[in-house]
Parts: sequence; structure tokens; C-alpha cells
Amino acid sequence: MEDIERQIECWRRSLPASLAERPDVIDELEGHLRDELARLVAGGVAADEAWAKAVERLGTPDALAAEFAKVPPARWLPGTVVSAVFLVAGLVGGLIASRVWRGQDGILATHILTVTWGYLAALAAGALAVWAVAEGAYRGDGRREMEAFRRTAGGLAWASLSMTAVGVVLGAVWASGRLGRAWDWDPREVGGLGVLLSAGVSVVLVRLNARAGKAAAIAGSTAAVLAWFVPPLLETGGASGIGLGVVLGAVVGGQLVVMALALAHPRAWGMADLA
Amino acid sequence: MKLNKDLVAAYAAPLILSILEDGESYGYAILERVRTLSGGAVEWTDGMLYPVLHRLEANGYVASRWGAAESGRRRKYYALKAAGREALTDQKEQWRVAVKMLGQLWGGLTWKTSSGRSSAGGGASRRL
Repeated sequence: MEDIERQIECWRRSLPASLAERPDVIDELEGHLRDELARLVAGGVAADEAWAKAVERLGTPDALAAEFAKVPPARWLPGTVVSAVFLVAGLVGGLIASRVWRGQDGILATHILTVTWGYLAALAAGALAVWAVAEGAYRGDGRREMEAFRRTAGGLAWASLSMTAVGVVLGAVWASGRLGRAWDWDPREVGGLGVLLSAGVSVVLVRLNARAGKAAAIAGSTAAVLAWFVPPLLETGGASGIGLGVVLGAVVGGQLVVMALALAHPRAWGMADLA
Repeated sequence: MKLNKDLVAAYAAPLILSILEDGESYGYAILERVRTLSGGAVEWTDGMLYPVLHRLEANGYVASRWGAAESGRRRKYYALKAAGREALTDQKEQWRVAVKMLGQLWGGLTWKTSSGRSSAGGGASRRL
């Protein structure tokens, strides 16, 4: 039996790269091989011979990989909806901005537009993660939904990182020309830096691990909410400032709760990470 | 008998959906069912079942979940979804038409309908 375990290990390692990066598929095929092996051995075939037969019947790794490559990626409705809303909002925002700021300071206008896109992308990735956590807690995570989440949230985190980076740099360029300094650690600048950093962390974590990716995406959206609304809150002050502060606190509190759930709820961890 | 690749591609999906119509199942059990149904006459390359299952899942026809096998190992189970049931109804209609035509030409092929009535062909009936 030890021999068989070694052969299974060899077989797993012999698979082409396109299959090797899909452990769920390999686990499923391995399960099949084990079932077939058990059937043949029960029928009186020697273990070694049974293994060779089972592997042969399964088909060549290259042929299998080619067939799996043809399977279309999973559709995950929330991912499609959130991406579509983000793209439409970005386009409409861009059109409106180009009309509003026509003839005005181009650098400032582009800075505002790219930062808005970057923050929106962070919010969209966070919304997607909240949805994924809720769905996972409700019915357990499906592998394919998880893959779809990682693909979509990864793309949004990338968009957030690149757009915010351009926006922050343009902001610094504008500030150095207009205000005589590029960077002054004011709340807006700190906010932009926070979104930038959290987007970078999200890009990495979403790729590494679905559970950490969800938490990072939610943290990224919290950074965007704070970056967006804390500076005006500080400027407002007074009674309306308190009202805004309460709303902001509630939103951020909610995000933190879901983030904790993403990290702690065992069913929201997903099979991907338990395997 | 090794069946033509195109023919396998055409009937694999309705075959799997029909097997899942009886309830949740997993890859190896589905293949065993195919072996039994064909009396060993049809040889599939075992592994090719799985991309078909994954495609059915991507199309929203079946849902999958990881459960535990009797051995305690992880095993992936598939179940028919409402969309899969609809697709199967549609496929059954198409296959009925195809089998009826071939049956008339070749003779002897019948399709037993759910009401137990035989259609097409005639003469000594060989059930498909």
C-alpha cells in the first residue's frame, strides 16, 4: 500500500502544469484512480498491475489537460454584476468629468478621476468579498465560485492599485506646482496612500489564499471609505459632522464585522484552504 | 467497442444528466453506471468524463459539492439543477427524433416512451 501512495505521488507530479495548478481537479482524478484501483484489486488483479491499468484507462495527462482547458471558466453572477457596475460607473464618471472639467486644470482633473476610479475599484472588490463571505457562510464555498471571486476581485484590486497610483502621483505633481510642495501628509494624501497600500496587499493575498483575499479586499474598501469621507468630515465639523461621523462609523464597523467573519467563520474559509 | 469521438461528445452530456436524474452521484459511480448500461460494450477513456462534468457545471446544469467517501477521503458529488433538468428534457426530445428516424431506416429500433408505448421501427423490438 505504501508503494501505491508513492505511485500516486509520482502520478500527481507527472501531470502537466495546467493541471498541476488546479488541485481540486487532481484530487478528483486521484479519487477516481483510487476507486478503480480498489475495484480491480478486489477482482483479484495485483496492485501494481491494477495501478497501471487504472492510470491507462484514465487517459494520458496531456489529453486530459487539453480537455480541461476547453472547459469555460465558472460564471459567478455577483462577479459579473459588480464588474459591470464598476465599468459603467467608471465610464459615466469619466464622461461627466471630461465635461465638467473642460478647459480646467488637466492634471487636477485627471488626478480626481483616477483616484475616484481607484477608490471605486477598491469598494467594488470589497462589496464582492462581503458577498462571497455571506454566500460562503450560507451554503459553504464552492471551488468554482471561489476561483471566480479570486479572478474578479484580483482584477479589481489591480485596477484599484494602478488607478490610485496614477492618481497619487498626479496629486503630488499638481500640489508641487500649485502649492509649492509635493507631499504634506494631509488627510487626503494619507488616505490615498492607505488605499494604495491596501490594494497592493489585496493583489497579493487574493492570489495566495481566498480567505485572506476576502479579508484584504474588505480592508481595502474600508481604506477607500475612510480616505474618501474622513477629510470632508474633518473639514465639516459641528452637528452635520457628527451625523456624517456616525454614518461613517456604522459603515466601517459593518465592514470590520464582515472582515472578522471572513477570517473566522470556518465555512467561509472555503475548501480551497482546508484541503 | 470504441465509439467515434463525435458520437461520444454528442451523447455524453444527456447520458450524464440522465444518470444524475436518479439523484446525486460522483464521477466513478457515474462511469460504473455507464459500464453497466452498455454491458461493457462501450469503452470510455475514464478521465474524459470529468471535463464533461465540469463543463455541465460551468453551464449551470449541475452543482457540485465536496463530501466524504466511505473511506473518509474527499469526494466530489454532482447533482442536477433545474436548468439541467430543462436541458435534459430538450435533449430527450431531440434524441427521440433522431432515434425515430434511424429506427425507421434500419428497422427494429424502438424508443420506449415513459407511458410504455413503443414508437418507431416495428418488428422485433430492441430497446435503446
